[in-house]
Amino acid sequence: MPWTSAAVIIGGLSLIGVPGTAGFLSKWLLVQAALEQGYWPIAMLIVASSLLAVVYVWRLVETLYLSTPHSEQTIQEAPLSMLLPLWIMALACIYFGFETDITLGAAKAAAQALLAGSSGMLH
Amino acid sequence: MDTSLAILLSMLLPAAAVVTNLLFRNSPNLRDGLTLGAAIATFLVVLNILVTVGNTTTDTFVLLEVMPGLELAFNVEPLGMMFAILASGLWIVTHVYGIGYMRGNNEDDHARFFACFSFAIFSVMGIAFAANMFTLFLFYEVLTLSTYPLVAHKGTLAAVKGARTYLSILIGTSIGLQLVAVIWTFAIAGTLDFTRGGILEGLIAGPSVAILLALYAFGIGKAALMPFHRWLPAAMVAPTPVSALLHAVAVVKAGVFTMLKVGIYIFGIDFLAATGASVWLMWLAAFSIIASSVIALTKDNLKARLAYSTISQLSYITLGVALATSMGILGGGLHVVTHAMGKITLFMCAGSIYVATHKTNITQMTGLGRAMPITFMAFLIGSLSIIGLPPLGGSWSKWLLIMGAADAGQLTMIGVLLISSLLNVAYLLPLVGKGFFLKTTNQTGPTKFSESPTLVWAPPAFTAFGCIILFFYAGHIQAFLMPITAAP
Repeated sequence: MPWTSAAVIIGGLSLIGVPGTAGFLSKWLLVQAALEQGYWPIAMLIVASSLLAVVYVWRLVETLYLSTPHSEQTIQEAPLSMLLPLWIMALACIYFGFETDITLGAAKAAAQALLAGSSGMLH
Repeated sequence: MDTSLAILLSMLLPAAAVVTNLLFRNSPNLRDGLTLGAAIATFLVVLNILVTVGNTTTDTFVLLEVMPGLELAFNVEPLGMMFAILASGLWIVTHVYGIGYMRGNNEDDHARFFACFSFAIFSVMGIAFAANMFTLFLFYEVLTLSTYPLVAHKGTLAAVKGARTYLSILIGTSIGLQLVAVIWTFAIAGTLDFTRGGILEGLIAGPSVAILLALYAFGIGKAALMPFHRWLPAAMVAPTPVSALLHAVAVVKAGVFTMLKVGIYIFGIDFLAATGASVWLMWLAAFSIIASSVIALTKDNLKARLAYSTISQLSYITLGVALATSMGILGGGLHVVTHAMGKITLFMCAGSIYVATHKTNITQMTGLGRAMPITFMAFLIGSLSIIGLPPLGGSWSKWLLIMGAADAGQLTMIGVLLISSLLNVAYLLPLVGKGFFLKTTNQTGPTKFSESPTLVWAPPAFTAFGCIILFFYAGHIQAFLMPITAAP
């Protein structure tokens, strides 16, 4: 199942937060915010969680690519109707790693609304 | 040609080679021919940039802005120009060698192998032309991921374990330390652009400077500074063309190249010299130089010995940065080229011996020199260049580093470099001596002339010749690099 496995890798890389994926940018913003506030331990924890993601994603990669498959059954690639949505999401992981107007804009709007809302309740 | 277009092309051509390798996976001659074409075209495009731009720094070409202040951007500057020429030029040689090696050795999955190889070159071009630390970091990670399948190529248990060490150290250091350093730099300086004289002066002081430098120095795992060096010997399970181009030239040089860029364009060498933040790094680099040379002496497996030799030689360049003098960084920059030429020769010779005789250990190679005179002569020339003897390229970079140590008033470092040369003699030359002058001890080895296939012995002979040429043209490279030492 080469197409499914390749999509697994892309999704996994985004979970790790490898540069060029959507997961990288959110991690960048989190670490930057933590550092600007001087919360060093928090920044280190965020980074450590990425490293844990490397471990569990790579166990999957090694199993998918580097183990010998059971030869009894012949395995076929999943049907196109499953592959198509799966690949749209995988490509979105990469697309939103570079194009941030939509994601960052929406996140900013949400953050402003939330912050404004809570301060409104305080006063 | 427009420079921005040329930079893009230098990345798109290797990327196209990835696609053609996968498309024509079942027609070997067409596939390998197209990749060779892409390699030559990439080299010509880079040469074109050299001719039109020279050693000046061009304006930044912004491909896209990812977040405010974070751009995917490229420009040409002397160090990157030099690195791009080196990598693209040696790609041609190694591709020819790779075809000979993979076919001569009946390895599997040629298409995947050459596709990943081209992908690695694509990321190297991105690293060479990166205009800011963000772009460089992106391609740095792509390079790690694209070379992982090459290390795991054989699919044996040893290969999988080696590849796991490779990935965990490289990804671990880059995400755990380097990324933090990059984001910290961005938080205090508000920019990550490579700027002459650095971007940090006046914004950070005290022990923080040394801490930030440590995050970079250890975070750039590809520079194999001890104690984060173990991935390099682990990567030796890969087929020899990978060890030759990627683990003697592209990947490790991407590491020390990043180290040079950070020292020169993020901190600025004057800032480093003024704060003394790099003194500890100098001592650590000196320790790495001596310690890994001593480990190299104990290794009987030829590729493992060469790997430890590489760790030692990479620390020369880190030492050049840590000295924080003009001569130091010039010597470091020149050493990127001279070591690349010497070490790729040695690795290709190791592969040549393997293809011809399937021998991997030095003790089994006694007397082989008479059967394989071309391979062994190339090995001798490469060794002498690594040791730093005239008339070979390696002598000049070592000379400049010694001058740099003298300028910095660090006389101990001169001693370290000289002892290292002696250790190089001790671990490299016995192979050649025993190869030529002793008789084969066992009866299995060939006694009459039996070189490896032409495609396998010709490339190392060519790069050995390159080592000699470099001796006469080192002055030109030094002059070419001169702008990196100029004050802003």
